[in-house]
Amino acid sequence: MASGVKVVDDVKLAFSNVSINSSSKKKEKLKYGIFKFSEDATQIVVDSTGKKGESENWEYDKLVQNLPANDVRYVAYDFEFLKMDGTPNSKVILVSWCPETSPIKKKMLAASSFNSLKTALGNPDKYLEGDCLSEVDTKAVLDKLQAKEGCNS
Amino acid sequence: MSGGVYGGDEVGAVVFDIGSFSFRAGFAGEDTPKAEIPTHVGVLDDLEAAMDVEGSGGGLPDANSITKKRYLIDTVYMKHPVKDMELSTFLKDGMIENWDIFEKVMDYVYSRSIKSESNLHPALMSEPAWMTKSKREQLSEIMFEKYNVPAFFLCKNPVLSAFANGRSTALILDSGATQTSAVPVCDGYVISQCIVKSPLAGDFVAVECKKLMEEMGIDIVAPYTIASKEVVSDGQAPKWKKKENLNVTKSFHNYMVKDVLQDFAASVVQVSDTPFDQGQTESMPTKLYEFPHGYSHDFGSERFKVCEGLFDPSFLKESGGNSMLGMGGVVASSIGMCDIDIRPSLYSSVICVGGNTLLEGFTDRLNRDLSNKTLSSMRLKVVAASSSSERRFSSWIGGSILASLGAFQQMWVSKQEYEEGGKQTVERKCP
Repeated sequence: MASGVKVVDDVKLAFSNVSINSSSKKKEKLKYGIFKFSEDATQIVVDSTGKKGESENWEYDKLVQNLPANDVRYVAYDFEFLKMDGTPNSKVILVSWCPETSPIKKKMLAASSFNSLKTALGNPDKYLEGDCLSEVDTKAVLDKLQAKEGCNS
Repeated sequence: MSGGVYGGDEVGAVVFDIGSFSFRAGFAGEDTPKAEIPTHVGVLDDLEAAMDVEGSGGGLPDANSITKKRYLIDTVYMKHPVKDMELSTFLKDGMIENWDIFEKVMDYVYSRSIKSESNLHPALMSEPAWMTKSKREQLSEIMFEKYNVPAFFLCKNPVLSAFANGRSTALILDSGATQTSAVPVCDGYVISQCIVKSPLAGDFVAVECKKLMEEMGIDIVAPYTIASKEVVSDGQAPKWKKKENLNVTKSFHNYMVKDVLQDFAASVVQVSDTPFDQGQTESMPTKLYEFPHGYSHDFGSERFKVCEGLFDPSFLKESGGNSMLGMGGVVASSIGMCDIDIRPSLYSSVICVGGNTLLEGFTDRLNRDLSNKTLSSMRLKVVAASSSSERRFSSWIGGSILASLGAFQQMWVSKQEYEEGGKQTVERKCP
């Protein structure tokens, strides 16, 4: 079931720029994209985007710490990590941020629209939902990203 | 955004949420339901058929029906002792079983609580996760053809509860009056083949309390039988007079006794943090409870003992106790049936809803029992709204918000779509 909220093209574009491996002539590689709801709550729009090393908040933990405490956001982040065998890897993770302290209306909106967002972004296979920092921090993301590798080793 | 916009007119949608204990109704966009009425109604064989009945919402349309019934709806009418009045409910297993009574209750709600015409407001209704296709079709038929609603939507309870807690993937533990269910929700859809249900819920606690009273030799006197009472000190025999000439039915009496037991459970009973241990709970503070007829008693370890069966069914003396699942068991077996890939996401958001989860200590004990059942590497999180109304009305509140969202207006099944596509339309548009 879904809320009927639409995803604007800018969000899809930003997500694809987070997903690409490196900058090319046409596209500029982004490290992250933060998405939010439009004022009238009918669309998901781009809140902000950033490149690696561009500002001081590009690092994942800093980024999530700066998410609002009483509003919901979606974050797409190109996460770099080491696989269980030690080889470097990167994967885009989509995070739904619904802090416990946000109004119930916002939570409802974010949760009921998350599936539409995932569909619009081509169903990324790594995603997380969290209502507090410990559910979306680096450790939580690593648990998610390394889950498969952990099973195989 | 206060009300929904439908067909260009600014009219608020109406949200209905039917629980086994009470029926909640109100306008979309509001924080709490306008009305909460019991799902039990009083039924009388009508001897004075022509008489217009308080609370039944007008006369009966069919003059030729053989047995005429009068229905007494809402707390004020049904809790008043009336000769030969039987109490009955229109629900069975959370689903509507008696459509006659259901329609009477709907008539009442539209005229007394909503106080508006049903054809003006789109209606969103919650339903249990296991609602059958034929019942959904019958319900939409009634809503469109009898009540003439301009638009209709059916939503599964657990999905609304998950959304209201900010999750699209979660395990919803709903412990209400008649039963407890664990329903996995993934990406906003119920995984219906993994639903696990148990009869251990609010009514079970009430029955256990009743057994306790019998053991202790305490009479449960329903307030309606008391003519007068005097104040006595704690532990003293009560001094009260019984009302004479009360020709009430057994179903009415039992309901009223249960009412007292429910109040007792809500104010005295507490779930022990760890598996029940007589010695340990004896050192816990006692709670004084005054019964309606004036008798007061201090409850010590008993107040923990009566609800232990909820979490540890093997604690129950009767045979059959072992075949039932406790709260932790319901959750673990439901998750255990799901795909291994989504199990961690479900364990990390176990959401408790329903009136029975308001028992003191319920969530703490659940957390403990579940952490014993899972690997320590599993991220376990038991979520429960702190306010009692959010927990009791979580699906109503979820429906209220959803129906008031501007973007949601395109999701409704409109009257036109229904007329063109027939009653299957609901099945198609409301997954």
